[in-house]
Amino acid sequence: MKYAVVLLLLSSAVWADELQDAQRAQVELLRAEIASQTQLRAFELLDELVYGWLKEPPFSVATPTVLADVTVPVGLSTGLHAQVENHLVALLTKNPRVNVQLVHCPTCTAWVFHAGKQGSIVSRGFERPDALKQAGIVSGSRHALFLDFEAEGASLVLRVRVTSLEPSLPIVFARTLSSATSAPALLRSQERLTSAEDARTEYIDALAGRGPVTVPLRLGVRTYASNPDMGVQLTPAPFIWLQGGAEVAFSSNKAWLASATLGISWAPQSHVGFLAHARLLRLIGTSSSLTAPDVYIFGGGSVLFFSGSNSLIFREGRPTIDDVLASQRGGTPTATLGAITLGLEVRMKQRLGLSVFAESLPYLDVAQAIGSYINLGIVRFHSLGVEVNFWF
Amino acid sequence: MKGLLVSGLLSSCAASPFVLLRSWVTDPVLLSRSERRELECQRMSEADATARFPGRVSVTPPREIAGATVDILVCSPRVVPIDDRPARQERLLVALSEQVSQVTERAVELMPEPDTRWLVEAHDPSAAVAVKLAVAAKTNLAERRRRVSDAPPTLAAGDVAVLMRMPAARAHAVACLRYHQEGALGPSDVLLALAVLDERETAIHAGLCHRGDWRWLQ
Repeated sequence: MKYAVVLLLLSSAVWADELQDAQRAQVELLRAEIASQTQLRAFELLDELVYGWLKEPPFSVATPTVLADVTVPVGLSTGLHAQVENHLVALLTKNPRVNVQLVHCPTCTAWVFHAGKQGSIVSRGFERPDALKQAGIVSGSRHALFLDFEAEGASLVLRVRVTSLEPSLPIVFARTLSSATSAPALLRSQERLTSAEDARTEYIDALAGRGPVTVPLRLGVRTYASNPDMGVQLTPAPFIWLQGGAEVAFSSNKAWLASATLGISWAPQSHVGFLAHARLLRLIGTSSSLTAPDVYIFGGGSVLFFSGSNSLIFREGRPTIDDVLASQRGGTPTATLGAITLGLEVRMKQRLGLSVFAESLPYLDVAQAIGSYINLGIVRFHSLGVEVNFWF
Repeated sequence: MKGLLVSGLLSSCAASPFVLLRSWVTDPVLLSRSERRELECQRMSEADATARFPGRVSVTPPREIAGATVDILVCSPRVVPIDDRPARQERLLVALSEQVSQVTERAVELMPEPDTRWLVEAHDPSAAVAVKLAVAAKTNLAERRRRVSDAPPTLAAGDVAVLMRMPAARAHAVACLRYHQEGALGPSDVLLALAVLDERETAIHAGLCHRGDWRWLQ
């Protein structure tokens, strides 16, 4: 009994440790999520700041400015400081029209000791510009840029001020920017900064795709099953198809699509083929994704026409050597087929896609040269195909 | 109200893909009390919510609206979780903009002269919060087109040693007089001091120092 109690206590202690580890992992996950969210919002606020400066530069000429201080929200220490600095430097470097020319001045941000008439003062360098000038560290006109981020509930607030590094330290620019809690954070192109409204419009346009009508171009291969019951094994050659047409989305979330295409297939001295194809696609999911591939299932129908010796395999019965010789002498054989298509398509943001499909050609049940890949009893699939899709 | 849209999590989907698996439009009753405390919510029309969160809000069929207004409660999680900061700091910082704006508005009303040079100092048991108070006040005053200096007024070490032994409420008046006597504040200078006088309080006190006279604003 005593051992059982000890065992129970030990196991509960281990369970408690596991629980703490799980809780710790959850907290870390939450912190990472919050940090990434805060970082996005901080970047958005910096974008908005520099966009404002592009419209109304704080200086009329390029002015040397020291990035004096970046403070992050109280209670949040996530390496945000370095990320903010990097993003701001990238923005200012790529947008020189704002006339804020960042300069390196480690002494400006260091703690300095200055003994003068007023006594001995320990302060940050930028707080005693007269001392820096006396020491010959700062010369000419310089300014100090301060960025202060604070979390006020669900909003991230950025307070920016630019101070002229002269003894009275006048603030020459100040602005408060707050992240919108009612819209997701956005990232804008650093080279081509736009307003938040324009960036949001671009985002929604990107999400909606390029409009309801697109032009697909498909390069595909169809293979046909050989018939093992035929005495002589005759393996049909694969047919390469190039198709083009139009695709229509029935809604902005691109859950339902329809397309119609015309195609051509050609092999030297073997065949020329034409195809008309229509398909209806259904997205697996509710709306197309910007970041992940979309998967569609589709069904459709085709009409295929072949002319040339390769079309002999689609004829009723078994092709003979006489048929082949006759086609060589000039009597061009032809075949016209109807097909039902079922398939699966993976596409990346309506730009690039890959489809696999199976086709049932009811007419081929009487063509002895063709077998089936999949036999479901009621329906047999005689052909398998794969396509690479491009949308324009 | 039709549903609850957790916007902060939505917007972070690029950084944390796992959240894509969550249901975005949920009923508020499904959230626990502690989960609700972490959210700040804003009501908006269904049209606005659809525009701002495309694909996340299912549009109500017109026949279900039948003349009523359908709105969406958009909720964002706090940037810093509510228990990550001491309660007093959280209370101060969550309304920092609002509180500081009220103080500066009142101060500018009392000293409307445009050539006045404003200096700001802040006192709080937490040095980090004191810096936040001072930065917010300076930025706000500068945005009100006032002449603001980033230089804090200084006193000799002996003055500071005496002031630190005095009750906080009285120390400000004495410090103001010393600033004037020592020339740290000129005749056109005004010092706006923000202070949390007691470690247990969450209100910001403010006062103005001009030509050696100290006046409490709140």
